[in-house]
Amino acid sequence: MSQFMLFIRNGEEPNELSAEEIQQAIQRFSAWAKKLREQGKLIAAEKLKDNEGLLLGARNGQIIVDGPFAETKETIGGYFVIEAENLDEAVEITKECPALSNGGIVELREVEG
Amino acid sequence: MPQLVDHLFRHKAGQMISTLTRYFGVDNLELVEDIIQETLLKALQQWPYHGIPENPGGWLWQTAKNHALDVLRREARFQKRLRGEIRLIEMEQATAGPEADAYPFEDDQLSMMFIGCHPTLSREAQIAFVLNTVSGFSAAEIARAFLVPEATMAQRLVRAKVKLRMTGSRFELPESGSLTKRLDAVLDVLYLLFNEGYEAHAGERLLREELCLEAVHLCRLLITHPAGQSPRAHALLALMCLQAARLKARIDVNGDLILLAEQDRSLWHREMIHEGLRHLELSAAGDAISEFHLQAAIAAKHAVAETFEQTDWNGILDDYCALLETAPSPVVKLNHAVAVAMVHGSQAGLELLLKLQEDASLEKYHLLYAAIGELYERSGDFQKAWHSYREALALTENEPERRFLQKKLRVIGF
Repeated sequence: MSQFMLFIRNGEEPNELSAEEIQQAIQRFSAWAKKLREQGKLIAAEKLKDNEGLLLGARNGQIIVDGPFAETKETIGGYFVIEAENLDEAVEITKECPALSNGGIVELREVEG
Repeated sequence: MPQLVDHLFRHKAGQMISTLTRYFGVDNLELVEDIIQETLLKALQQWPYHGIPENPGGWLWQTAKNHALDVLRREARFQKRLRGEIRLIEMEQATAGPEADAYPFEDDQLSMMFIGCHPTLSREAQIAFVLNTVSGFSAAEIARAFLVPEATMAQRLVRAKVKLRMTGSRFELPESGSLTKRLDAVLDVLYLLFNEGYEAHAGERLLREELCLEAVHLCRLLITHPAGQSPRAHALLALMCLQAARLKARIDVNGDLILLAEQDRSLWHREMIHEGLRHLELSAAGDAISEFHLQAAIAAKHAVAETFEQTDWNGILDDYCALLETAPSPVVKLNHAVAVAMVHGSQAGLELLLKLQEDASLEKYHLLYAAIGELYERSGDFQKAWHSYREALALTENEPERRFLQKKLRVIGF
């Protein structure tokens, strides 16, 4: 078993979604997470705070702090940690992640154990 | 893991928009709608990671309220603009603490319904406004259900809101002098909303069923309040329950229409039928008999019949005769003739129907030709039946009905 991280990059601000569509999107997530949890494959899930990311780097021996940046399409909104047999299975699980049907992008990375 | 009740977000959106409008004023409806939209989106951002909270409805309301209070605090200037309608402290008190769940949202939805049925708005605008603000349907959803371009519907809603702002509508029930009239307008809107969903348009079936059930839901809400209890309101709720009870049996798995005579009556919703009959009884309280009373009486006779053959057609014919006098719409004239056929035979019904062809309001009405075809078919005159069905087919664009007629034509086979 290996652990994988799914970084969820939000899609376009879904302003046009109706109340019903928002509920359906939540229910899709809920069903996806429930299935993983029942299989014991969901290790953790956390949402990251909006608009609070900073970039830090060192230049000429000085620490430079940049940000916070306005939220963009590429911002990581949250992450899931899952357990899977191998990369193939992790890809299959990720393919079903509802973020994809909301216009989001998921970055899948294996945790080196 | 908590589950979400069907349409919770939609219902909650309607409730919260109504309640916040009480505190922000009709003038600031747009701001209120933004607050609610952001609240729902916040749930979409958080719940996928944290799971659905124990009390989803309570979470939404708490979040919306906090957001509203933030907006108020942030904009001191804004508070001044509010003509004293906002009583921030009052709102905090009314909605604070563990009793928040017991807040009477329904009263606010009711007030909102009355506001939306303001006489300056057209019926179309009233229906759209009520669906949008009281029931939480988006402009796109309403457009889809009514087969109208989305931009047209959005425009209609914007214009309705501007108009209401101009009238200076205040967030309260109409004065007792105009209450009855406004209540009747609300009932008419609910009736049209129901019919829009009930007619077998080519629009999305699920969405249309939801319109029917929403009309029932709003009428129930109306009737729980003293201001909404009139014999006519009970009659309308009776009518809608009795019709809605048969929704599931009306259409087969392919989306094709099933005629009353062929419906599987075990699919009818017994509880709704009983609810309808109960309200029909309550509707008898007044002296006046409205169109809704008569329609409900007819629907009740259908709903209690064990089989198609056992239907009380004599009683139904009496009701249609009374309807002909009070509300002689094309549909009523047509159904009256059909009832005549059931009581006095196909020939008697046919004679009436053929006369209706000369009626200007009916000459292009496809269901008239479908009914004529049906009676010719029953009397064994298949050639004439075929021609009538052809005529009906040429007059309708409605897909389920077209399929129905094409099947008829194939069966008769000329």
